[in-house]
Amino acid sequence: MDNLTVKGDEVRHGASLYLDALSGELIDSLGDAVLSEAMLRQLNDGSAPITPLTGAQIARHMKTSGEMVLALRLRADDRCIGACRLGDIGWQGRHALLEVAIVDEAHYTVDMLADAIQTVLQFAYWEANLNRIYVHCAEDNTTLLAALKQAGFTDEGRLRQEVYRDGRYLDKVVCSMLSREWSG
Amino acid sequence: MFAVRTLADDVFIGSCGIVNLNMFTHSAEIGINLSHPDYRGKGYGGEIMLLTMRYGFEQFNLNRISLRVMGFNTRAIRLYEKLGFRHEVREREVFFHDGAYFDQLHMGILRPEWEAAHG
Repeated sequence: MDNLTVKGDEVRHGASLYLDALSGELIDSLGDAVLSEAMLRQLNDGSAPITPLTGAQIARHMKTSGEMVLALRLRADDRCIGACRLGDIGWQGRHALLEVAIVDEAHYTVDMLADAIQTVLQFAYWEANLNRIYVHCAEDNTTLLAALKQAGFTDEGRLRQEVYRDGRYLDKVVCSMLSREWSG
Repeated sequence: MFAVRTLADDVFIGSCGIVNLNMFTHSAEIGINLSHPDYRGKGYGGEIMLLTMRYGFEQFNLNRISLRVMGFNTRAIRLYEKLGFRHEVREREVFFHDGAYFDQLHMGILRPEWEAAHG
């Protein structure tokens, strides 16, 4: 046993965050205040209209959408600041769509998003044995795009006019990372 | 989804359809299946694609139609290029087949491009 490295919880720990079960209690802790317009825009990928939502509603929706949904909690004080999901999993090709929803506006930063993405990647590659993790992002979501770049994702191209907002069409950017490219 | 039958002899040769419809963004994906082996390589694939595209733009009022194709299927990709589809995203290592991963190409055509080419 002395020669074995037991990763344990380490698999689900990042620099500032850790992944946990998304319990009803944690969802409720996200509060019932409607998020700001700026936050709602950041959390919407453009496939559906932007509507007023609370952080708890967004997390609850992610949980009911199934597959691998986990809470994002701060290591410093255990507070839940959002949720993440590995969905649309193709087990033969070992690929999954990653969605990260940090609903606490004070923590919605490039660095925190990149940390959340890195933590989920660690779980996806080490625990879930996936090969390809991809993200769909509206072209005007500069915070998420910067976080994906910081995390080392590759820009695979743009689905033209796949997003509609403010009376005009925008592109949807597709980014991915393969397990062999990950340096975690 | 539709069944495809020949006008000349009423033979069922395959199927086609508009799927993954998003009426908010007015976009959808197109899919065809030319399953009858005797009718392959004779131009039916392009004709089925055009009929389905016309249905998507003129009946569903779509702004965008896209498709996904395996990256190594050069024959199909050439047909889609000829019909006006543009290369948009090369999704790396999506398919696993015979012990290896293969890319998937996502191609799309917008309404103005359809109207300019086929309207």
